[in-house]
Amino acid sequence: MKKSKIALLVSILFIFFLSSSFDFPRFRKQKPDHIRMHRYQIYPFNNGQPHIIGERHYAPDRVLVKFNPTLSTQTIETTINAYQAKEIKRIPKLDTYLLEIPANSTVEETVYALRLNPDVAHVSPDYKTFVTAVPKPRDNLFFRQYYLYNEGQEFHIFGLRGKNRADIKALEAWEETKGDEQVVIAVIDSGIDFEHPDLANTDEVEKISPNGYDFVNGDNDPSDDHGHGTFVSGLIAAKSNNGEGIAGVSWHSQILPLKAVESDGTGYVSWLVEAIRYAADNGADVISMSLGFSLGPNEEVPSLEEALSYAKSKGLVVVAAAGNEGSSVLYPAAYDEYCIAVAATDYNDSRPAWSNFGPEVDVAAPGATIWSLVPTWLEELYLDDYTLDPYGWGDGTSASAAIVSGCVALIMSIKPWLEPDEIMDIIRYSADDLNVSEYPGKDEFIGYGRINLEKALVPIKLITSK
Amino acid sequence: MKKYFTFILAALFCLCLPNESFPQQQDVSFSSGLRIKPGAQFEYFNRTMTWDDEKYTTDLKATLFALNLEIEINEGFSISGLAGYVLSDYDALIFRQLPFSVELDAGYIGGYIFGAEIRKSLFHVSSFEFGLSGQFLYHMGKEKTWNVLGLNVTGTATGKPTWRRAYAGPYIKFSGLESLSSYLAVYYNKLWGRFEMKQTIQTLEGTEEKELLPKSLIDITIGTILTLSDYFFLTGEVHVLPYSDGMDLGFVAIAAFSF
Repeated sequence: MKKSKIALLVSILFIFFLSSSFDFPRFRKQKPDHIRMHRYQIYPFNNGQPHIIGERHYAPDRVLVKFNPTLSTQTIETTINAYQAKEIKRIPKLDTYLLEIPANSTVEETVYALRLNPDVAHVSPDYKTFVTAVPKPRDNLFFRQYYLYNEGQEFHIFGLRGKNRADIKALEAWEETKGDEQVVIAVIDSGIDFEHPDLANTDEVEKISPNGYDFVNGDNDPSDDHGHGTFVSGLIAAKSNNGEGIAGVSWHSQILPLKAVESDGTGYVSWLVEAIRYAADNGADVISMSLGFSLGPNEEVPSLEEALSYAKSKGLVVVAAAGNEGSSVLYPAAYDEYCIAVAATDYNDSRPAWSNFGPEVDVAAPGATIWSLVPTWLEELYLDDYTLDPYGWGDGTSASAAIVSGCVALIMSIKPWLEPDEIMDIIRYSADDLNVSEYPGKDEFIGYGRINLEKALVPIKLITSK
Repeated sequence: MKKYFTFILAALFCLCLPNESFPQQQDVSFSSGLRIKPGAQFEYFNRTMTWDDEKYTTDLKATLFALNLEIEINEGFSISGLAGYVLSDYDALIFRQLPFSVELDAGYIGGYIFGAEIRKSLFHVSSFEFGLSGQFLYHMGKEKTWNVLGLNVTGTATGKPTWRRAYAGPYIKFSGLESLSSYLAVYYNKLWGRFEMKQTIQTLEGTEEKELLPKSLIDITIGTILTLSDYFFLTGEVHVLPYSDGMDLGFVAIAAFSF
């Protein structure tokens, strides 16, 4: 009977042992790195004192100390008291102590003093840690692209800095997708510079579709003789993370260059209509139009509207610039049913006065002081060393529309089944309503707001029960 | 590896501690004639589930409260049914087919559970009983709605989880003690999860159904039945479900009467 009771007790203890050690996550693999904390860079000591670079990056009132393992607990306590410090906690296994330093001492002084003590194995401030930053692309001019990632950096040669996170949250979105080479963006503009290093086709990458067309000259060579088309194409899908130049919004998408603008920066609606129809029939998924024209009250261009309707019926999403005149929205952006009309914001998330406005504006995107590609043949025109490479600054809703086109391409890359109207609504509903205090909801200036790629693409956490 | 080793040692210890020196051997759970055993059951389990050909994983944690009724038709053969309530919690279940992708990390969702169990004793060797047992559970979750936050318009997502679990396999049971019997079982244990998520955000609507399969299929179960009287039993079970790079666990406690 006695043995029976022992067996009973052992079995119960065994069951309770297992149940009490139900720390399930211990048995599983760790989560991906991007959600883990990592230790902040620890600077080398300078005569026993840590460097202080800018803001203090460690706790002001405590230090981490490890004593020599031969020391008894009693001796350790005596040593701690000798420094007028107080034990906050001892980290098991590592035999490391977190000590609160006396109020009349500094971390630097305490670290210095403890380092002189032969009983101390090592000592350091209690450094702050940071969540791992979302990786940036390696492109060497990425820091100029505040519109993709703005941490308040000096992005301009004149020392301009933007407001922290006045950007489209591209880094976060790229964690979800960097675009798909199957997604083709038709850029109806002045053509493209086939030689530009951030666009040129190589054996590895076919960035520019071979199906481009020149509707100005009626041939299949849409070379850029103006520069505007190259500039906006770079914004949409420049070769990215290649250590050179800039990053496009949609890294891997392909550009279908359709030239409908002459070397003087003008064109005709007939070329535009042809180009839209051509894009719809030649595998494009997105049409980006950083161009426009105004119409009087009783004027209309039914053929353009029909072309847009045709493109939409074939599943294309059309993005168009609102215009830079500080007046009403230009056509084709004003064809509300078929186009996402894009206004501009700047590096402070403010709206430039020149950005056109009206009820047709759907969203806004950065369009002021934008860094992108210029044709290689323009190199000799530039004087300072920042423009020896074929890159330059530009302003306008042209850039804004191009950035939104890249956003559309990213959405299509991971959700190719969505209808054009759905994609347009995703871009609208995910925008940040920057002027909510003045104009809550959709307004005529920035529509639903400045686009936010993170909200459009990254899974939204469902945490609040209704 | 050490955990596995410790576990196996402990299991062997539980099964082998009593021996022939215990004279009062008797099978505490089987007797002749029809017996009815109503009881209450609590279960908690954690299961690593995958979808898209194991490209993604999530953790399903479930807590069950059920009433069960076991009918012992004749000695060594019993069937039982159970019904109750279950709380299911999926961790980081991501729906990317909806207009706006969402990640479910929203705590427990309630629902109902129904199930049946069968146990058949095949033969005895000394105080050891060899047999087969199996169980089927069907969980029907209730719909739960969340606000989709962070957008400049309002929207909701409504989720509904269901899952089915079936396991079956051989067991070996030692009944050499007066008031205690222990058993070890190896089951093929499969769980089919399904989660339907609907999203409505202004003009946008979408539905995504996600089929989930477990990473672990082999279930090593160790259990103990404590006979407190001729009419009242307590059962404790630990389920260990190893897979290639981890392990799932479950725990069951049953209190049952016998008439």
